[in-house]
Amino acid sequence: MDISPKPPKAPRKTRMGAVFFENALLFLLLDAFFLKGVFLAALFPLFTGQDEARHYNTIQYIAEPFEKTWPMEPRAHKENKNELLDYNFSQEIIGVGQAAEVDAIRGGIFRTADFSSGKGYDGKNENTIREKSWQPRNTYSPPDIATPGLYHRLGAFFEWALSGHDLLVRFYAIRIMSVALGTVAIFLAFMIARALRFDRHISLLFAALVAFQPKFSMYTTNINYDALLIPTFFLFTLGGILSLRDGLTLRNGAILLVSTILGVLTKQTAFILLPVLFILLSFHLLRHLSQKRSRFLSFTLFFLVLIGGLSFLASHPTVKNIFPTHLSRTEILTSFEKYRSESLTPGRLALSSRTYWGALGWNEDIISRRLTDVLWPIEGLAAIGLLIFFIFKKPEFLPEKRLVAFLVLMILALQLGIRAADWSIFRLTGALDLGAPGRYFLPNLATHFLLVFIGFGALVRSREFLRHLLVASVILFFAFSFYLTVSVVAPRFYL
Amino acid sequence: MMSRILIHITRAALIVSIPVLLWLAVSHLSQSLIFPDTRFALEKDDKVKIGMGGVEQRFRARENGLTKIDILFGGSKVKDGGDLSIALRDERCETILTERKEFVTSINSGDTTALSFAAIPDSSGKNFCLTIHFEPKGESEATVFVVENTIPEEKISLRISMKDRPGQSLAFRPFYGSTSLEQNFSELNRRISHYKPWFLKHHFLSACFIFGSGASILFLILAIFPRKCLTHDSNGDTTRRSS
Repeated sequence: MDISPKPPKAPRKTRMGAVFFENALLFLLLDAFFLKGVFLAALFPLFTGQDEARHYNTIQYIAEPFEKTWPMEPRAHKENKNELLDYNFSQEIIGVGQAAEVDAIRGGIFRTADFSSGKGYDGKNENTIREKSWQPRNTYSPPDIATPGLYHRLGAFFEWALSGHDLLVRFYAIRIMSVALGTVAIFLAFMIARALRFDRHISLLFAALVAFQPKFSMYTTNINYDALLIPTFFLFTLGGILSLRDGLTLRNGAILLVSTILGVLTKQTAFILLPVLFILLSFHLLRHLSQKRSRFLSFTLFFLVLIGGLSFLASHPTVKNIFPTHLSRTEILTSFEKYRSESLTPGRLALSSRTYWGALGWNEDIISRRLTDVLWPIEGLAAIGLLIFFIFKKPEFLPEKRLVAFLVLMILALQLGIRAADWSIFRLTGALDLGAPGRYFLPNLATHFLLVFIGFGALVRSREFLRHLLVASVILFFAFSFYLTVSVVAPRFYL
Repeated sequence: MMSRILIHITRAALIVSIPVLLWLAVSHLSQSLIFPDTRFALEKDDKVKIGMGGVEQRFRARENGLTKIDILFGGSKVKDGGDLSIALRDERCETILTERKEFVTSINSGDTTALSFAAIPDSSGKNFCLTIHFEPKGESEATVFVVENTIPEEKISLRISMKDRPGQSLAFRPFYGSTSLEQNFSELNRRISHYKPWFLKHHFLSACFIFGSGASILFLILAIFPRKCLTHDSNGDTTRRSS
């Protein structure tokens, strides 16, 4: 029986103050990201996001009546598209885009809209847009749309709810929806770090790194399904960490299942979560086998999952397209070598890396040009740290090795998935039509940061040193993000 | 004791770095807060070689504070190099007000080339002459783009290689800047507000920027000085540890 005196409880006010402060800092970060994101969403003119007009047209296509009671003009997709009129977009997108001089803006790095003729805070054709002079209907067949997914359906809800307003209101409301999804991703990044048993402060700093990563900030202001894909990947990572830490409970299993379903319903990239889920389930089942209870049931479940999973993966069209099972070994090797020599070159990898970190390529400033020269050595050092982490005894403040191994698995899975998809398109067209732009790797952003700093943690072997390293990194990322916003993006479109 | 001193020094350095980095970022914007007259079209229409006599474009400044002129050069073959000279002269095309002279082996045709100078405070309503000369070495040649002149009252006349070009003008654009930072930011706000819904215009836009930046900076400052409650390694959710 423990008879030692209990320590006195902290006064109620102090405890409440501590709880308030713990949560206030997290809400402050989420608030900062959201407001910053809304400003960025306003800074980028109409349809200047990645494939944004196509994604918005997809949303309009879903929102319009299923029965097309208006005349549709058959028009094949053009090879070379120079202006909005060349695309099979809705009448409203084409009309509003032309009125807002989107073609002028996209026509060259030096081109902007004509601000001289605008009245005050309205563009010269803004009244025409407000009068809703065009119908939000696709009249060209087939329309230029992306594969409709969950993100587009969410956007279509806003499109429908705000149907009484002009396109400017609807379009920017959906951009703000993307910002809100990005805010959810920041919260999930915090939860992932907490699940790895980092203290609240370090977890906040990891979330802040994600919040101030420039490409992530800019990308989550676009109308693009990646704005939903990123938080689903973060959610899956959280579920995986929790299941490896605490076992496959109902909660953890539900998180894994829901995130996988949400991901697959959003974009085909999320198919890569299925084999990862399969590996996780296999791991848990095999663990049960070692525990000497209900071995027969565990064996049966394991083989059912194994056969079912493999059959599903092998028969799914997406997987069949990606993996060239119909080609001979020689053909596969030749094709892969050709792909490797064109895609996995230092120049292309550097470009992918620069765009991942936020370089826009609009100006020749030294930061954007030399970014990878600074970051690659840092990441190289972190990789050495990770090796040390796995080989030797880990510092007690760092997470368990199997949790970090899962993070590495997530990185490898997404890399493999994107490269495999890129290779499959290369085999079809003979060109890098898909490519591997940096934004494709953003779903693993939180995982990436965690691995880099766990690597540093293994090198410095001091929690306080790691904490200061994190703070310094957050400040640098904030400064870089701020610089890109005010000194690159704003001048590009408005000066 | 030493480690506590080191922690304090590190925190002080981190706190100081925030305003320094912000100032670096904002000062770059302040210097580039000059506004183009977007009625001057920058289009890649006709390409004309710069021959003997060069280019003479006369124009009228619309506002005070003329401080930069962007010119759109065509794809030029200057591998052998050449002396490029861009000058802003008075209305008679005689006195040089400012000049940029350099030996070039390439001319960027994907973006504009700038002639920047100290702002002319009383430029409004005055006529100026923009001249471009290129002395090629070897077989080099430089070209400029020429566009239809839609504002003849402001783009007064164009002469290339001693030949007048009526109805046409050089593809160039003047920039104006105000000495008042408040005016410049107000003009920037006005431009960003174009083609935005009401909740992203004017004051709402400013509020987003100010509160977003303010919240970010406040977070950074508080993050540098964490309270014990944040750094205490608590597992308040008391989840089961895996075996």
